[in-house]
Amino acid sequence: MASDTRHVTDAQLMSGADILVQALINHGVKIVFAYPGGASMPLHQALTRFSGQLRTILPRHEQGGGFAAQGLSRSTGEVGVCVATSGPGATNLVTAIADAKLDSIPLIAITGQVKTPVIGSDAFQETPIVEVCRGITKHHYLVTDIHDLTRVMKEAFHIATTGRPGPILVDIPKDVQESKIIPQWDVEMNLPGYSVKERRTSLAQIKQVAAAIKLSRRPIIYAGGGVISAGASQQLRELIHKTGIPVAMTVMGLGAFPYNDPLSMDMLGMHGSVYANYAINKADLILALGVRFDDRVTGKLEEFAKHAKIVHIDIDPSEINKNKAAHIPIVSDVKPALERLNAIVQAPEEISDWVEQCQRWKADEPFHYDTDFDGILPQHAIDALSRMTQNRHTIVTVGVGQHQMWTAQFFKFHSPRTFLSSSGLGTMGFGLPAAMGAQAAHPDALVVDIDGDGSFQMNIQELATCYCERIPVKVLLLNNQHLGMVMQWEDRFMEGNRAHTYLGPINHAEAKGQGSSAFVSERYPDFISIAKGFGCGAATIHKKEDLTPAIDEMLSYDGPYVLDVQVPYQEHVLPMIPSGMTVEDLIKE
Amino acid sequence: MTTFCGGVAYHFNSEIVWILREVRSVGPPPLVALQNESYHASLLFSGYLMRHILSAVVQNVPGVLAHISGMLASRGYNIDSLAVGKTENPDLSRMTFVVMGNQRVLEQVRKQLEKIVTVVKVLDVSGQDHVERDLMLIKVKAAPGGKRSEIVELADIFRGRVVDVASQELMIEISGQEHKIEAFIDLVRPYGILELVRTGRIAMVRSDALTSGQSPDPQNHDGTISEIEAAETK
Repeated sequence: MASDTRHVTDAQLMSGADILVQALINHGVKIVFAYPGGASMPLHQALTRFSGQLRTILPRHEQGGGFAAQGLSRSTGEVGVCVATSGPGATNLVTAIADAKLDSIPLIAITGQVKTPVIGSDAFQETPIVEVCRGITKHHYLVTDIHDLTRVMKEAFHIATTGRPGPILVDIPKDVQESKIIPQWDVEMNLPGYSVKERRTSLAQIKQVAAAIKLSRRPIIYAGGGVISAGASQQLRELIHKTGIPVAMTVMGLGAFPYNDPLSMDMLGMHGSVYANYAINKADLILALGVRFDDRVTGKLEEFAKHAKIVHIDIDPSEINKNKAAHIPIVSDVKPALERLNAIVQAPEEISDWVEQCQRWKADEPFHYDTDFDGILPQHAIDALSRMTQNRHTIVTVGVGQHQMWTAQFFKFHSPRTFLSSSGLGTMGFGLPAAMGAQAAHPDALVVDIDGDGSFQMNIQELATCYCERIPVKVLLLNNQHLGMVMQWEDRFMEGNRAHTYLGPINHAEAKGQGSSAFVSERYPDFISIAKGFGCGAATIHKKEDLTPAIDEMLSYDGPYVLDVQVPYQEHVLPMIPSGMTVEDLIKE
Repeated sequence: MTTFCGGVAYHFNSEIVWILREVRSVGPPPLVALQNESYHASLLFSGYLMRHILSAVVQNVPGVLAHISGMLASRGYNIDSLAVGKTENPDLSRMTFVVMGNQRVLEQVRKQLEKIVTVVKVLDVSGQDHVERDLMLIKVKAAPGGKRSEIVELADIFRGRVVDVASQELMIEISGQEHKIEAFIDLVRPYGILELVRTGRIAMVRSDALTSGQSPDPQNHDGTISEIEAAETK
């Protein structure tokens, strides 16, 4: 890059902080989410010097910054970058880092550290953040020598984005940020243990898969986040069009295949569709693409897809045979594997009965809700928003809980990277900051955080960021005044005993599960005042007829907006396969 | 194969390990077999506990030991012993693990080790002809006289060495396979063991065995591709 040579030929001394920021720019980073503090001040000073090339967004909590970086990454496929200071700043990033690890999101978290001479002395705001994060990063660095900085940054971007993507932590002591050298940009990486040369999927293996497909009578594709991170959505569509095999998707895989194709069986797993779970249970061949047989998908492992032969394609060898043994295991990025498969694959000889059966299941037991309810059901609100935004480039983020599952069930996704969900770690509070990051990366898209009142309050401070940084995120708040998913389990498995799942004052009857109507008697908190206090637009609704106009108003509002939808708290996410059980135990009502 | 499928002893038995590796090297069955019973699956997920020696070459950088031991602990793997030391290359260290587990656990341990960026290569030493050694220093109560000569004699028989002598005790250095060390401990226990310290297991593959079974490419240790290819070429 031109900027590389300029700095070398100018023979200018650069500070560690400047080198770091220049490295980010060299690697194509356009936006960072950074919260300053004592040990990262030099870094922030440097960020101001490069502000023409790199936008710095100040979140209101480091965790918000971490999730915003993820929102950017999940919606673009590029590396998300967040910065925090040492100690509490760094530990506030931990959840976002763990989240990125479980969902394989390329994230670079940069933390300031106390000066090298005092490391290990329990200095002010010192935490051994590399130690803390070892198990939740793909890799991590504590940079104690400024000369290592360019190599470390090169390696960090390389490791974050190649193979199975993941989070990298780069911890930089303040004295390393301050000291100056003439940086060497053209450095070799030192990664003898990390090789990502494309795995050669042997033609024989691909032929085996093709033969298995041809002979199968009840095949199904089980597609996950690996399809999306590989950018293999097109290849998946081609495979399905060539073979006519139905496809079920994981939460991470939603959007890989369009909902409106008759072969889409939508989401499978604990709260997946009845038809997807029936289909996977009856299948004789499962093409598992970029998935990891997570317990939320499989339920009881021994019973999952018991009669099926499994083709498992994943880039991470450790996922093969981890939970479920594969009959044809292929360690490969999904994209090249599907490209090679598509070149030779033929449709199964005899699956028309099977496809008909799948479509009958789909027609018989679709996701549904009570359309006669006198008020707004959360599913209805999502359904309405989905219908009203189908013609726009819309990115949806969610928190964690009932609203997340309802969004996965009722929002119609047709493109990859349009549904951003903390799926593996299940982090409440993910929605708003993730939406913020996605919106920052896609200024022209409509970005909606469909959130619950519990999740929303976990990172509600980011409304300030949205307002101050002019990030016009919309929040569709499905407000049932409870921690709905936990409440649902209480209702189903614990005789409805409310154990700290009501979010209003503890003297309310609802706190003990003794509410007398569909809606709580006295609502708390006042989200309208909160949103307006942050400078955002806001409205609250509870009547059915107000839903469409209120969504319209939200969508046309110029700026961040919170639409507080008062919904009843008795709704359960259905269908449901209880944890560790099988499709036989599927609860429909 | 039938031997394996039948009831076999829980503890270490090199023969069993060999049988297992032979079965594994056949790889997943061809498609015809797929239509029937999946023995590959039953094999991987069977419950036989075995002891394997894994040898990992790692980058000699700070934190690598913490990373690896943390990974093993957090995933609940059962490590019997762990030995670390430098190698002929100053940039690399070698870690030797003794791992207990069934085939599936062992496969996971190996893959999870290989996933760690600073781990350069992992070898399953016990799958090949190898030499393994423990080293022990043991301090035994030994008053001058008959007892002391008995202990020295025992040490000689075990090819141990007396490395320190005090008025009432002897320090003996002894190395060898685990069962030899254990046997020596049992024999000197009646004299009174004052202190005992042991290293973890170290192991090295015999030169003639190097070519068999193991792929030199660490990233290819997925236990799948190479096996399928091996099966195909047969």
